Amino acid sequence: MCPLNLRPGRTTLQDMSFFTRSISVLIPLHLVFCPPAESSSARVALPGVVLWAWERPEHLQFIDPGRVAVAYLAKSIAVTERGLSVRSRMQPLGVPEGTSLIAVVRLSTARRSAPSLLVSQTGGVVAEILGAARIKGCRGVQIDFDAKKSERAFFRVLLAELRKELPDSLSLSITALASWCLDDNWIADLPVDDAVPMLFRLGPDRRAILRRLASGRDFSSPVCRQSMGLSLDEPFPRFGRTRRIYAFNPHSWTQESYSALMKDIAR
Amino acid sequence: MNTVYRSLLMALFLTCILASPANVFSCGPTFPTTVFVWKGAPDIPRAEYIAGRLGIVQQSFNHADLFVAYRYLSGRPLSAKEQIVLARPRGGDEADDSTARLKTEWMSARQAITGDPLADEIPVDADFQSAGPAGFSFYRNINPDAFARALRTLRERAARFGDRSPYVINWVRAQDTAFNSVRLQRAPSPADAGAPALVRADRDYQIASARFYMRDYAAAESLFAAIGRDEASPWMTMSRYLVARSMIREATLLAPNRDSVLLLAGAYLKQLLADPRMQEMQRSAKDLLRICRFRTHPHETFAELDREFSSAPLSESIRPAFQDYLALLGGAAVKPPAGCSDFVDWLFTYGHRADTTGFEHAYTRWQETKSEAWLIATLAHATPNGLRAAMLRRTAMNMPSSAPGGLTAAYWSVLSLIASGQSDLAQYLIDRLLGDETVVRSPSATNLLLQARAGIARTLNEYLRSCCQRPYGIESEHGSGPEQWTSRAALFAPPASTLNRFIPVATLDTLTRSPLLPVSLRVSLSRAAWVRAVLLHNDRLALSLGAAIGNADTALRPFMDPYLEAHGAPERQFAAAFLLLKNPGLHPSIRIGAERSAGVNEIDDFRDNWWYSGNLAIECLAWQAYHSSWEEELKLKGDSVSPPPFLSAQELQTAESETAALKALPAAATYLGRIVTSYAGAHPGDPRIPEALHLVVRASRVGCTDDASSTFSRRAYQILHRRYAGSHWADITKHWY
Repeated sequence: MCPLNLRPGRTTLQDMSFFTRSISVLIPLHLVFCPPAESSSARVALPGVVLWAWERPEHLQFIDPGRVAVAYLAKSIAVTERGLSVRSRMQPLGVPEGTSLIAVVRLSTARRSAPSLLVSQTGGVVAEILGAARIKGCRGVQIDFDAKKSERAFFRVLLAELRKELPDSLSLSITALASWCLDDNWIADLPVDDAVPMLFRLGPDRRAILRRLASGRDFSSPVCRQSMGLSLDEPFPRFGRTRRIYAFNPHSWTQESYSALMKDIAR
Repeated sequence: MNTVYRSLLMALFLTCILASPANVFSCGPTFPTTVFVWKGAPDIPRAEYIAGRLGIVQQSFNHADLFVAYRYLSGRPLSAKEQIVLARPRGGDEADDSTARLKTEWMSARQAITGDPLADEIPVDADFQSAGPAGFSFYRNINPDAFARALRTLRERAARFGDRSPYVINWVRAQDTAFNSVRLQRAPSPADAGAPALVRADRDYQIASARFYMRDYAAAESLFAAIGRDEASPWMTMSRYLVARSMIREATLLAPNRDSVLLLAGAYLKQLLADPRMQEMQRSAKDLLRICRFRTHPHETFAELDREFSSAPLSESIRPAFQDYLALLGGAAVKPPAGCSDFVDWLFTYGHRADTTGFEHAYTRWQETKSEAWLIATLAHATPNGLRAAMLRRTAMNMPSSAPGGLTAAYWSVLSLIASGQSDLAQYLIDRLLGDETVVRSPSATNLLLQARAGIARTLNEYLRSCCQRPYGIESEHGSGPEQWTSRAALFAPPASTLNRFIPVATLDTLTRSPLLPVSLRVSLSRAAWVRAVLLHNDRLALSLGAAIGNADTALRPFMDPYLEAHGAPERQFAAAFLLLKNPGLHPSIRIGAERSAGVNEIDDFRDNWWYSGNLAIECLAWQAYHSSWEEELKLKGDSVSPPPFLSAQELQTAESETAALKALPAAATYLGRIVTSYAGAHPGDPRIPEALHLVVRASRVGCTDDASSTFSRRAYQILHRRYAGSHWADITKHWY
């Protein structure tokens, strides 16, 4: 539990020196419990805006590669009882020269998959993901997997193996359910550079989550505090504007939707 | 020392206070959806459908399945040979399956020779970034036939030279390099000059292939052409053909002047087709030529194929052409092209046309052809009250049920009768169809008929007879299809919403004993009715339902006794809350479709636990609840469900006030937290209290919450740790979330 905002609560002015002393103890405690996300200087910093390009023809020649990166769906891997079912991207992707690319791999499992069965297929999944990361201009890999509780051990093992095998120059990120970044914080020690909280399609708790974040109470998990995932068909939240924005478009990107996004971000 | 100690305590205190965010979560993004009517394709076993047992042919079926239907409906049934051709999986699925299978076979075979596994996955798919605006292309670089050919060659060479022969081992190593050449960006080395001619010919072919895989198409074309001139090479004919493949791949991936390269490739292929030595490559060359024309002359190619398939029988040799035809058909405009075949005209009229001219056109075509295909298209577009509609319905109802279009025509007649206000006749017809053993029915066809009947039910019992259906299957990220767990009957959307919104809890209670409903649904109904009765403070009904659940519901039986044995209202209310806290699958509403995947006493990973406030107190969470415009959707959904005509004004009024009371309830975490913390204050000695307090904290973590939930969750946490410190439940409740 690592909140960013340090509200004094009921501390009075008379207690201030005492409060200051307390903070001096609290900060080391904070660092012990909330270590910064693992990162490497070899990894190139990504721009502040990343467009998600899903499995459809995407012609993004209009983007500014200095300000915008592209995370494109490279592969979908279904882990089933019969083995891996892999679908590589077959749709074109147009980007300007020099665009930073992130290869997104969507993972899914069959209903009620046995956890041991998943773990036994880790090697195959890692090999497939590594294959997706070989594209020119690739700066990182992002895993999109809504892991159920019973699948968390598999996901943890997979990410550890993947981090070992990935070149140090490539970042490793995951998309994260907002709950993972809040109170069901099981991802804090995953070996990833970034966990992108998906702040769209939030369901019934949408208002409560956005209100909480707007009030300044940040995600519990530090690994979730670098980026946020938003969708063009939902209102943008009014917080975290200094973070990297991953933008999802339910339709193919156009010059118009891109310009609208950049304007919205600048506002 | 004292100051340091106090500072440390204060820091820990601050950590506790500040590290306690509100209990808010996101809810999971993907849920399997129960499918009652499969719209994209027939759900009859494919072989049966292709054999002409069509069920209800829906307008939304894909073009290949509508082609099959058309052939039967127009009096040109598929021959046994044609059925075999169409029964094979289509396009990409087949290519994916065979590639994966053959790649695995190849990897095993090569390992048997070399003794070592491949270090890297074979890059079957590749990507390429062009210098121009096209950007990255992603494509299948190694087709399944390449693996098949490699397997065949390996067997032949091993038979000729022996498994352990250096020639064979070197051949495998060279093939590894060729398959991996897109990644390595190099081809195998040439064979030794002193090696046998066959070994040298094989290596030349592998080098040319590697150049092809590594996108050096000019070199590949030249190398294949050289092999093609070598009459002694076993790869002569294949290489001549691969010259064209190299040109076409270059045109589609690299060439800025694509069409001119394709025209050249087309001219070259025509030469090959005229060459008697290329007899074995005729079919492949024809397919390649069509690909060229597909790209350079799409309209003409479509017209040619349309002419061909409107008369010529389907065969294995023209299957790729048929797939191209369907692909072109999918890309065609909504209006059928001039001069098209009767099939294309029918397809667009039945499947796509929504304007008023559809009826007149279909009617004219039916008059001209008298085919079932056009009768069905006419019925689908008919205005229900017109004279011609009545005549069409009579014609349809006189069709024998064994006719290929019998059920489809009857279904459209039913809809037309309902729209014209003749519900009694429609119901008679539906009952006749459902009771006729000779009618070909599938889950989707049966459900379409049941849904039509539910819409015209005159009594609650009639309604119940129709609203319970066996789903076709589920739709999830892994695609769609039948699954074992969907074999149980469930409620489709309108009846579930009707029961949730318009039926008073007292009536629900009677339904829990209705023999018209299957046992599994009665169990679900009993649970929902009991939760409703508890939440509405209808103790008499809650106790009676509780007793029934205690007798029949094995999952809830162990939890129900304390509730039934409770003394007085506060204890009973606490017992109900305790039971609810232990069973996150309990909800005051009946679920649309299949039950939630977690058991009633298990936590769902994506927070499908208990109820939420507002509309979601009377509708279970479902995939729709995660839609982007969630609130708007629920609002619309509420308005779109109308009360059925068979309910009395009194029943509707009671249901309305009950629904309003349920909607006004707080979210489960708050509702249950309030009861438990209040009861804990008054009954500190009750041995269930520590566990109940723990469960309140858990509920605020795994269930949907509202603004007050954190208050009760924190209160529960504090009571648990202050009053029951050292208990097992306090120990496992380490944090207040």
